[in-house]
Amino acid sequence: MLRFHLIKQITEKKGITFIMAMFLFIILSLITFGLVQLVRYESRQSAYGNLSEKALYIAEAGIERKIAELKEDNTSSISLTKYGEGEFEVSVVAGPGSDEYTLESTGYVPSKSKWKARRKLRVVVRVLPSVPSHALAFGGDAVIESNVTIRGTIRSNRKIVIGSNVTITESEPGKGDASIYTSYDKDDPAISIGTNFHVAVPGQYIKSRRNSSLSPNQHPPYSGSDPTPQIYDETNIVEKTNVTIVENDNSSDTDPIQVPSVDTATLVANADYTVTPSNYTSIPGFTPAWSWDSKDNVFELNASNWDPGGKIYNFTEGIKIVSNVTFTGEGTFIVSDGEADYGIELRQNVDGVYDGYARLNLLVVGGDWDEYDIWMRQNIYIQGYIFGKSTSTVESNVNIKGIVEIGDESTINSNITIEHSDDIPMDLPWQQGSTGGIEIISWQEIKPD
Amino acid sequence: MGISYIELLLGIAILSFILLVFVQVLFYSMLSVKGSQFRSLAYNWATDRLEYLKSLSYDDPVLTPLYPVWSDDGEKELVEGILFKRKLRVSEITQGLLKNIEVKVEWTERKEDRNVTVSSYKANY
Repeated sequence: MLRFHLIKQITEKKGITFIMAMFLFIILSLITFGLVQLVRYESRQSAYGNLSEKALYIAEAGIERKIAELKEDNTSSISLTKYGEGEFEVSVVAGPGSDEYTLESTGYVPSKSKWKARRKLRVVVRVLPSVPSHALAFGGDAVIESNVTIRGTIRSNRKIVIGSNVTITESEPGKGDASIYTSYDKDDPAISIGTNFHVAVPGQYIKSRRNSSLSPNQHPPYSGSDPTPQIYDETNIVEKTNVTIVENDNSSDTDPIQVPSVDTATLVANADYTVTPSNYTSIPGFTPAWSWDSKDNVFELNASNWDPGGKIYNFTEGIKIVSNVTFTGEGTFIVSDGEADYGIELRQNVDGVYDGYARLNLLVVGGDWDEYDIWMRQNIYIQGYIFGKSTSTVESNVNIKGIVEIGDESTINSNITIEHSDDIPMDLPWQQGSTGGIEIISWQEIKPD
Repeated sequence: MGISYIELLLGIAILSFILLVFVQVLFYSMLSVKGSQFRSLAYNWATDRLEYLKSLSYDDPVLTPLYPVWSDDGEKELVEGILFKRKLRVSEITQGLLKNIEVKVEWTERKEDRNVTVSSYKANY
């Protein structure tokens, strides 16, 4: 009764509608304000989440770029760099282990000075010396004669002369490794291209260094006449759309290369056997296949089959593999000394049981040879790493899967196929360098400073 | 005595004004929330693709550089009547070593073209 009386009293007062309206206004305003704040908060949280994730991607981009640079032997830090909608900076510290680096990358959105979001990653990587990415590398002048097929990249520190009907293509489908680079700094020319030169896959480069203080002259191969002397004659390139020519290149592609890619001192030190004329008969499995030819000063392998047994042999004199030999196991032959016509001579019909290939690494790292360090004659099938410290000649019908490196002048004669392969027999001690693989040891996010 | 006509009219006017503002705020809040949802959806769709692309091998044909062309990856998604289209662009920064991967999701919302782009480098390990 009392409550009903009070309500009646209130509602009968003048101006009560205004008060009620104001009361409603305040209530609704509060609800609206709360709603707006809620929507703003949700939007901000969502936007911040996206920005924060973007900052993480930017930090990751910094790590990925540094990993690519480590593969080029660049161990310096990366200063603040604009990337996408933000910036990153990467610090590099050697350690904690040998060949390991600790990378710390911070990503900022939109910038370091006015960041709205930032994330930081710490990644420890190990640089692994690895198989080089080129099929052929020359420390000196190289002549590639007619009818040669190279499956993989060619690198040189000197002139490259390419004969007629030469083809360069990728080592396996999709790999796109069919380019030619030289660090040679003269234009006489640095790369001479013979008639009917085929570049069989798109996206390839032919680059020469010449004068790196000038702007690189990048262009498609010329048709009609070639006015530039460094890479000449570009009109001989058949598939012109597959190639970009760069003269006066200043990229790392034309940095001088290190030949050999293998640490030969370590390899010699790790040899299972040091073979000398006085001890070779005591080496397991060596005789009667091998004999010492005191007239020519070479060890001679004269057997239809021989298994190197996965061992490293350090020969102190030259070696000759006579005709018709099939290798039934893999091995590494190093010639570290001697004096004869050839360091390593492979005559005819040398092959193996691995899809017809002999899995051999052949290296001439020392000695004094009247003709060539390495001479490969006819019908030879080898999968492995081949290195001659100075001159080498490869004759006709030779098929090599792996890597061929020559320290000085070399001639690749007719009907040769050289195909790059990562599958090199045995575990060779590759030098640290541009092609080392990267192994991720740890990858974690840390609090930014 | 009681509520006068003036008070009634004034009350209705104030209430109408309050309701109008309230409805407008609600409407724009809903649009804002919806826009934010679309943006998040596009962003998540783009990052999903970026993660997938980063997981591929460096030489995978999907990562063939075609810069500056944005290639349509064939993926489309219709959400609440809005068509989202996803595009990909790959460029090689250092030959054989470093690629830049960008994923863009485009859509049209209230007659305005919108997009989100996410990107990252991929090194050849």
